[in-house]
Amino acid sequence: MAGLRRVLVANRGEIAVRVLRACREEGIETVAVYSEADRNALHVRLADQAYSIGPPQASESYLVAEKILEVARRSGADSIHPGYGFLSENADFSDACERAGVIFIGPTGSAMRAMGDKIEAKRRMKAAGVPTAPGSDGPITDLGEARRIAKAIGFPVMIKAAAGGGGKGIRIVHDEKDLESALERARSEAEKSFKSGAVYVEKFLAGPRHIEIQVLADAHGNVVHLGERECSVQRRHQKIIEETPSCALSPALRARMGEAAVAAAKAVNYRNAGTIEFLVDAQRNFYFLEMNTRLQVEHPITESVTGVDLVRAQLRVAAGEKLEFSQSEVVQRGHAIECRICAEDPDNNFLPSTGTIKKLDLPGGGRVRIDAGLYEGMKVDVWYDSMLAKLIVRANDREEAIARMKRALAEFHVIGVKTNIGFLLRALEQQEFVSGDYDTGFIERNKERLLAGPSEDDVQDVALLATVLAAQVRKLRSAQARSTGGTSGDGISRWRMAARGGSGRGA
Amino acid sequence: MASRAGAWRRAAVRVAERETNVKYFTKIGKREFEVEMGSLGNTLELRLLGRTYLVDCATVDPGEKYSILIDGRSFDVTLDGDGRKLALIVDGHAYHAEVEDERERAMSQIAGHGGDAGGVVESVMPGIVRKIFVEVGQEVKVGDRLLILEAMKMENEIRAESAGIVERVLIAEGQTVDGGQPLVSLKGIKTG
Repeated sequence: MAGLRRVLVANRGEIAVRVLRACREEGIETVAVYSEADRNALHVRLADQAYSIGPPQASESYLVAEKILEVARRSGADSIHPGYGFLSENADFSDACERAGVIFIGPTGSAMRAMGDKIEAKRRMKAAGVPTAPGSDGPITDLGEARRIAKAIGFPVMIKAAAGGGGKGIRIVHDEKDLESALERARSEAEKSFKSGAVYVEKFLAGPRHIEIQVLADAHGNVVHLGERECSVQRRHQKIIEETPSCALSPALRARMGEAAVAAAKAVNYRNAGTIEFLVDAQRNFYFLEMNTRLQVEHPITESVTGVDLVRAQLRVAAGEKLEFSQSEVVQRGHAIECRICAEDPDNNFLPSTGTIKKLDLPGGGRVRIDAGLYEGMKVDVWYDSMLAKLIVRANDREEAIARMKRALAEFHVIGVKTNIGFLLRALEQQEFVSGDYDTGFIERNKERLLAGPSEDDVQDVALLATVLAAQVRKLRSAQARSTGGTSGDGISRWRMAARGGSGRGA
Repeated sequence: MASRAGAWRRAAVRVAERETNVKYFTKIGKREFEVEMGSLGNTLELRLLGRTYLVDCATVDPGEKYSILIDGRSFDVTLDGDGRKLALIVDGHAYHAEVEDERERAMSQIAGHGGDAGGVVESVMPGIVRKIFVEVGQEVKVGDRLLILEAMKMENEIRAESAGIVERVLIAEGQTVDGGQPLVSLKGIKTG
């Protein structure tokens, strides 16, 4: 079977770069698409061809299937990789690609519909014998119905987008009085992010672990799983630290969850890479949460411990090739951790931080991987997700992996936008994380320590550094002011400027 | 003329000497420190909380990157700022510092603090105004929804932090706003 020849990457940011790189290594030509905000982006520069698809708003560019297909036609692409987010879980888009004679590098529309609609997915999983959490059997159409179901299963409940994923369109409701407002927001967010405002209600399990299983399926009926990813370190339902293996899984439980994941994929005739997300409670019962019918943000940690290049596998499976290995050949070796580095301000309620990356220093050293679309001069604006980069480390064991991640984070310097790097460092230092015995309540429980200021010793060091640097910058600015004709620079007192001007004339 | 130039030079040297021992007020977060700085040849001598530190500062990238040795302990510091307000990254942690010398401190004390924002609700982040719930003349209670601000695909409800009457709505739905931009002004309700 002939492989893919020219792949259009229908995404932006780090994932577009990730896919482009895999294509290049496979000897496949690449086509990028970009919005007006992304003309300078790394994915445009790394591609063989690139085409504009409209204004910065994703709803008028990256989310418009017709524009993507038009570029595919124009560029002669034989296939489309959707990345994650945007059109990646849009069944109609997968179908439209097929109709247009372009290979969609992902599952079929029907598999996506079965899994993409979370309500339908739950029904199917129940039928396949996979355990599921209690909640509404269909979409919630009005407040009264939401109220009835919420009362029946008991607060707290979650309102979730039927077409959801990535933490968008999710609200937790602890009290009946907040139901209306939460329902409204979840619906509106879902409408905007997924073009479907359908939401459902599910029992909110307090303090579960969020553990997912990676699967790979070819078009010949072969399905394998590649072990788990522990994704319990979450804030506002967004994962921020992932690791594999999970400290919660015994070999026996791993095998059972792996089998369940394979069964789930087979139940919808799944093809390509996908992930089955489970909630695991304190008694180690697991419940099907949802299937992500696409490549995951956190896929690199699986690659790190299994040695399988998931994007390469996606490309080959999409071309009709058989999986290159069987279940018994999949071995998890060592430990891997990923941290998501986001442009946000932990000291200001994690609000997104925007600006231009003025200075960027990336960590190096062995077994450190950075997946990013980041560069000095890059504008971080409000149009897209706040994730700047993924930092991935691997090591022989967990202790070594944590130490390596801390070392790499300390070397990761970004100037121009605020980031969560300090927050991530503190998270890795918490006893609860170090013990491995943590769940999705980790951030909330440790919030105070995670947001605590620096220690007395550190703050004194920083005071010394700041003072020295303030003096350096003042000297630099006044030298610059002198060389450009002597108008007063910002923050330099006139008196000192006058004194320096005098000495300049005298010399 | 030569003697006047000489006098200038002597005056400049005196200024430089005086500047070699400068007291700074350095604020890190809410903590403020007095730091005295002088120099011994190429080495800086800093005094903080009764202790003396010998510091060597090398410029890696002017205004952006410095290598600093404090009594031999090495710090790789990335930097942004104008000399009075600085953002520093040290070992992956970000810090904000405000540094004033004695003269600047005296000046800022005379100037006093800036005017209070009063009843103006400002945008806490850059974003797009998705919906406005209030209109001029409307009375709002603490916690009432004022508007929805969307940033990076997340919708954030902006609620009233004090009760009052809406005096002005300074933005429109669909408008892009910057962090710190005034959104709605509230007039306090007079009691009695």
